[in-house]
Amino acid sequence: MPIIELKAVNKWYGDHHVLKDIDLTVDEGEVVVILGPSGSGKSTTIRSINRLEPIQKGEIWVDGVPVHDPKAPINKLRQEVGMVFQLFNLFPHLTALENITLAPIKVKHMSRGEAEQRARELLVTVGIPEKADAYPAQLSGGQQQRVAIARALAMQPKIMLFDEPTSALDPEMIKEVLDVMVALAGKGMTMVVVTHEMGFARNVANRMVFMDDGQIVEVATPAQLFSNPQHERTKQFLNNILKH
Amino acid sequence: MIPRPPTSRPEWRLPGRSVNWEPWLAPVGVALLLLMLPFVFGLGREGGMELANFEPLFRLSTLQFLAFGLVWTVSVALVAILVSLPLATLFALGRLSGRGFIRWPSIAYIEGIRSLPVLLLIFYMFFRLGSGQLPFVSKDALAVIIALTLYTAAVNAEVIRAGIVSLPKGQFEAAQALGMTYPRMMQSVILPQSFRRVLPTLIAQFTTVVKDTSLGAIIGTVELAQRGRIVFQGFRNPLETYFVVAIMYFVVNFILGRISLRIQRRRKTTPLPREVQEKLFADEMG
Repeated sequence: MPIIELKAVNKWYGDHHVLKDIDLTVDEGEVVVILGPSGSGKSTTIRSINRLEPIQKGEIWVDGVPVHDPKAPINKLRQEVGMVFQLFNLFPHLTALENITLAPIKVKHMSRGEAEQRARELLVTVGIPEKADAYPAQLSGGQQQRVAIARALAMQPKIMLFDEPTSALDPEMIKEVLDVMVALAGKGMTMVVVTHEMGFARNVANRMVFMDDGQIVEVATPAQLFSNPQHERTKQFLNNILKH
Repeated sequence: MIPRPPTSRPEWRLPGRSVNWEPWLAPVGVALLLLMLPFVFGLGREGGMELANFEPLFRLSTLQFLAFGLVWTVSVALVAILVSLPLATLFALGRLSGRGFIRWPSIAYIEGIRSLPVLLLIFYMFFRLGSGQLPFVSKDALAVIIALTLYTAAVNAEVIRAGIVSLPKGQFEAAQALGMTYPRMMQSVILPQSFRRVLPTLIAQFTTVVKDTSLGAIIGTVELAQRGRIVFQGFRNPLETYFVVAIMYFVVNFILGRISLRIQRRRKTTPLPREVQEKLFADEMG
């Protein structure tokens, strides 16, 4: 039973056709990694799932909600779909703890006490309980990204979207973020991840989606994709990123 | 892929580690300035200020008379500042609205009021208010308050709008992705950051409000500058009187400036840590 379903999704920026008939389903508990070159539409695809990018044609169903429908209860749905960004996007005027509790308190109307207790547990989960009162500016990139993951998890989402979560980080910090994501996948979270971390994809992904020029070129398990890519474009891309 | 810097240029300055002299230098500079001022006004020279002329100004009755003007000025300015701020915020949001029937009236208001002289607004309000008696407040004071409020709201609407549009797009996206409605996002995420960014400009406009209360003189208010005029006519010491009045205005605005500095020091808005900035910078340089 798919929890995310994209049917013939199309999007244009003016004359530029950025998504061309995207069909994609994600089952509950599945980890799907999307990869592809710059400008292939992978970011746009993942951002269309919670309508940060509206689409012009096609259908997107997420947990039974028609995201493509302008009248859909999008804010309700977004509470169930956590998102982690490339540049973290923590709220710089709030501490780590306040970043995590803001939406549970203000959007879900959870009591402050309960929200803070859960936030502290989440900070333990992501490995930085001692940073509760630090402001984002006082945290390293890896720490900021882990707070951002905790912030998304605080809404108790059914789905987590990761849009290049490690591409702004130093190598040592990439690992601390990936560790948190691996643990999350281990707990059965449904995840859609745009990343170039092939180690992560190989170990955690159930399926991989290769995109190029606004289209899905190939969908396969990591084993299939790495050992036996079907399309010339996929081979070429994997060669380029795996060569060094 | 080259990640774009998420914010406008000033955020790209790497945090400096130099000693912050400003808190020490400002009061010293102000003291020196105050010492020099009498000479600028020509203390002791032919036709300049004379020490003897200061004496009547420091009589209790004179000081009380001037202090009342100062209180009037500060109260009128304070009311105008406090009422104009939420109005300015509404017009800023209105101008950014996607709905034409909200955006166009906001633009019309901002551009219209901003381009009028405050003096004209004060005159207009004075005659608009008619001749009836008002509770709590005199008609001339109310005219000044309304005129300054409307004008400041229009000017600061643009300041606040600049603050909002200067925020990285990611702040809006993160708030939306958490399921926040538009009002919630503005209240909890966008406006607190915008205000911090434009605070110095807002305070600058507030000092203008304090100074512009003196325009009330033309409709006969009893504000500070006008009271100075009355005082020197008695004592025949205009230079000395206006010197004292000037210092009173200065002190009020200096305090405003200090408040602004204090709030600015509390802000923590560097969005990306140093090593990420350096990495993005290095990526971009190839």
